[in-house]
Amino acid sequence: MRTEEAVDTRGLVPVIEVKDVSKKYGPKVAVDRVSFSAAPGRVTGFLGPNGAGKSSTLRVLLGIDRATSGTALIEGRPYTSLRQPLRTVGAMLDGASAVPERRGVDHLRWIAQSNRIPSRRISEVLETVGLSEAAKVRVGKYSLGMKQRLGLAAALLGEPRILVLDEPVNGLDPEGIRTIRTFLRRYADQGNTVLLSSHLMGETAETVDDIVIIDKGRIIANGSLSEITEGHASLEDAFFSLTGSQPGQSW
Amino acid sequence: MIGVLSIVRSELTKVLTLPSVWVITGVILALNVFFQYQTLGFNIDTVANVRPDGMSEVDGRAVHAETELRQTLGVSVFNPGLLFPILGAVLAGTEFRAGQLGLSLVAVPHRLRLVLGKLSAMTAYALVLGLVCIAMANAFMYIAVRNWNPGMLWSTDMLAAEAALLLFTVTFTLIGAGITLITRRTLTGIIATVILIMLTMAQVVAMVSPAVDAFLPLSAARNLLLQGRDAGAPLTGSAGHGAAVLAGWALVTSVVATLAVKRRDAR
Repeated sequence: MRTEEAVDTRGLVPVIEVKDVSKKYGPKVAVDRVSFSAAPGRVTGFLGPNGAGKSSTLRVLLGIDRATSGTALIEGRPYTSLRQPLRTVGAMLDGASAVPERRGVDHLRWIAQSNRIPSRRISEVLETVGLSEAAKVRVGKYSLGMKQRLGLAAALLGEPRILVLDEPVNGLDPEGIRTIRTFLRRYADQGNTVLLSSHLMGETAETVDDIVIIDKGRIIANGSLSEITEGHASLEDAFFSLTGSQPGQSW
Repeated sequence: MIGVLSIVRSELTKVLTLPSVWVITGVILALNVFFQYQTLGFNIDTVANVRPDGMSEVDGRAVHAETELRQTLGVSVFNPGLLFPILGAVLAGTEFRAGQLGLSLVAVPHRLRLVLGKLSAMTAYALVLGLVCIAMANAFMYIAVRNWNPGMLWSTDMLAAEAALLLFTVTFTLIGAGITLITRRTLTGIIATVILIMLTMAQVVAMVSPAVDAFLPLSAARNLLLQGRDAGAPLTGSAGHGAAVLAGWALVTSVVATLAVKRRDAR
């Protein structure tokens, strides 16, 4: 139980709170004292280049990896203490997908059963992401975009009020990207919380309300989209300015 | 907390929707049929030679027919049963493919419950598959004994032998699964269990110390199931010792696997 409700700088009660989280893999520091929050009714973009620490942070948030130090809370509690977590949080993780030999519908079935989610939700989410026709096809035969949509379907199974999505538009075609963007916008407008990681600046700028930028494991900017992009032509320009990198520099 | 039953049900769905599990199940059942077919002629001959005192002549020696047939049934299930650790390795190893363990933990973040649910589902599957193997063996045995003594199929001694076979199939599955959860790779789990089996088959440890050999899983299984029978190499312990060692291996590997899953990042 939360004893008091902290309010962020915008006067919103954060639903997701990451406080001073550090994560080391052996001697390598992947995440270094990261703190940020995400509030309901808003889409929060968690941006950074590949290897910046986005996925590691989200894995700590979801209890998949253990933080070396710090805390990550969802509605004031660690994810691992949530009752039937998929009814509260829908998550889609980069690098955690369905076993290729299993059929899409079977993948969703075991997930639904684990949280006592009614089986009718399986057909509903398949319909939502446009995979009804491919439900009985083995996941190994799915395109990258279809796998992403299956991941989103799994996240939506429990009708959660919080979505944590790691690179959700990877592999999607323009229509798919637009569909996701519209969907997430509508989802947040209904009072839900969306935390979305991406390395695609243009796409993210059209979806998010708030931005958290991470680079080399550290948060380098955190604020509303307008605050972050102020004085820059675009979010992409702001990103390169904040990270101090140049296009093509890392090639 | 999510109910353990819903986790077990979910884990059973994982098991039953994996084609590789069906392939290994099919191989185990096919081998079982092969071994049953191979022993059918021997069983028919044994029954044909039964004397009024219940003794029969087998390979020039007098044996108690019912005991001989019961032991033959045990061996015919025991041999294909050596594949059960591979079944366990495949069941557990799936978690480490395509990042499924991460998804499993998102769905069931309480790691102890997740592992308990997984091990329970594996136990249930191995139990049912073991029962099917025993039922097949009984069907073949019935062909041999139906005109002599079909009641032997549900005698106390036969049921005890079948219970020992079920203990063997379940513990061997859990040993393969436990080692795979610890090593985090299906292939490594299979190799480790094959090495353990080979240590018994090659009699490496038995030559040095039969007492130590009795603590190997396959040696324990032989001690449990092959008592009173020409088992090729000499047995190294009693049936009770064999049962305890098998249960111990399954328990220890399951506990270590649970601790490993609890403490490690899910990668």
